[in-house]
Amino acid sequence: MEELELIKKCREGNRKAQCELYRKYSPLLFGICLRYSSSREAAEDILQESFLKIFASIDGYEGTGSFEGWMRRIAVNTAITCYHQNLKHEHHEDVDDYAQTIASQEPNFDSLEFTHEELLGVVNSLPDGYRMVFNMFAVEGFKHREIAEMLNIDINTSKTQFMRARMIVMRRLEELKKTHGK
Amino acid sequence: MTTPEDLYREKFSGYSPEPPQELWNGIDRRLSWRRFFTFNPRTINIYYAAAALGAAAYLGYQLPDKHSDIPGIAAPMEVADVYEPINPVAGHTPTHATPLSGTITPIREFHDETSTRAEADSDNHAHSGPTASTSQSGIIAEHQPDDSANSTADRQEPIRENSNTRESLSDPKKNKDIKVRWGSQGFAAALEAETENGDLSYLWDLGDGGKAVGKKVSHRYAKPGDYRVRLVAFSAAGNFSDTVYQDITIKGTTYSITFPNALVATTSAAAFAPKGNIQELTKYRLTVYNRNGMEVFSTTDPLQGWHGYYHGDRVPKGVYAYRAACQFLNGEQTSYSGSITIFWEENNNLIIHP
Repeated sequence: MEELELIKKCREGNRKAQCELYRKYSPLLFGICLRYSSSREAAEDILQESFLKIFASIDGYEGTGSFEGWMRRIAVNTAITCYHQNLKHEHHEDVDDYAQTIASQEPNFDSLEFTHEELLGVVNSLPDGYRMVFNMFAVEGFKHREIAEMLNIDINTSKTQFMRARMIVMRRLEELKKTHGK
Repeated sequence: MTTPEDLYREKFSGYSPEPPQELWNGIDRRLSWRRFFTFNPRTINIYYAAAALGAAAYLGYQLPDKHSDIPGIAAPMEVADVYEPINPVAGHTPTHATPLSGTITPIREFHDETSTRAEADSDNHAHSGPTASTSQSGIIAEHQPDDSANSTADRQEPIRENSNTRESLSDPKKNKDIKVRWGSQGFAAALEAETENGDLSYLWDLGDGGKAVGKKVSHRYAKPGDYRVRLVAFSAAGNFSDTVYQDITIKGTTYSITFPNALVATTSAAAFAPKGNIQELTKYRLTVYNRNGMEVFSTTDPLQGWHGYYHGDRVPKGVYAYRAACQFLNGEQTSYSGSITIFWEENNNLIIHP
């Protein structure tokens, strides 16, 4: 089924089309959700909410841009909403992370060295705020100004959190490298 | 040199792990209600049909009595309900003369003098104003005198099947022809849609402003005349609609009875009893009162007359009041009231004064 046809039928509430759309795009969006959440269960919740939003607002897709990009943006926004909702529950930072990352050297990593699961494990272990900023800046390519607006934080907070998140990620990747070397 | 951000961007570009299979079930379940209310040309007809039924109910259509199997006759008002003695005396039981003949028995068929129906002229309707609401059917009584038990047997109003004017929106291939069967008794009419399709809904415009819903309806008209009934039948799915016109004639009633205004109090002469269409009476109650309002005679048999006696003695000479509540075969209810002067006959002379 062509993508436009699929979208049209989803707008009509066609169950078969909705199922097909889910089958087609859920792996991609699940990959995004996994990066933005601290656990797999949380990622599944975000994915479910994302698809409900997609089907609810599919009429709002004007067909001008990439449909995949539109859905990715919804998944990221859902993750941000989820982050805001959980902000009051999980707000802790490990002070030791800063002390050790300041002295780190500029890294050089080979993407073949790490599996997806290892990289996810690293990013999932970041404090929520750091993980959001790191994902949005490093992977999604948002600017700090956009991140500050979306997360409702100061632009300098966004920059600081990214630098700190980056240091933590580097340190843990180096630890992983050492583990691999052994 | 590969920085962490480059590493992640490269590694997670197009990263597509398979989500758990059961995740879709949760999404599907939560989408089911949304799907139900989503605009869909294929299901919108159901909404139209539901809205039409809702509007019909709101505008005051009434569902017909589904338990009725008697066409055309309104539920009769009990004579006892409309009739109250002017001044009943507690504990008093009037003396009844021996019934001359006949009994009142319940029946389930109705008779009418109107055995044929004039062809309705579509330009000659009698459009009376809005009338009584859709009536309910019920059991009434038929008077069957012993000496003329079969006198009304051949006067039953036939149920008709007439050719009718039709405006059809339907696909002729669907074979959903609808006919209107109807019958009338007096002011009451019964109508029924005849079709092989059992899944249709029916709206009736009864021609006098009255409306009804249902496959089988009955209605009481206020005035005699010709009426054009419009039946709209449609399927719940909205894919079938048909409008049928049927001209019907309401003949009303011509029944009446009369009472004498004077009587000689004697058992050998004629009694105080109604004359006229007494064979068409289905319910009847006659009560006579003296000048003090005391009940001196009461009967429910139109053939049972009053001879001017009370407790075995001639009543005093003078003027007595009477009241008779009647219901005829066509369902019409009437009450008669008046006065009767009682004479005594002595030595071949009529005596009115003491």
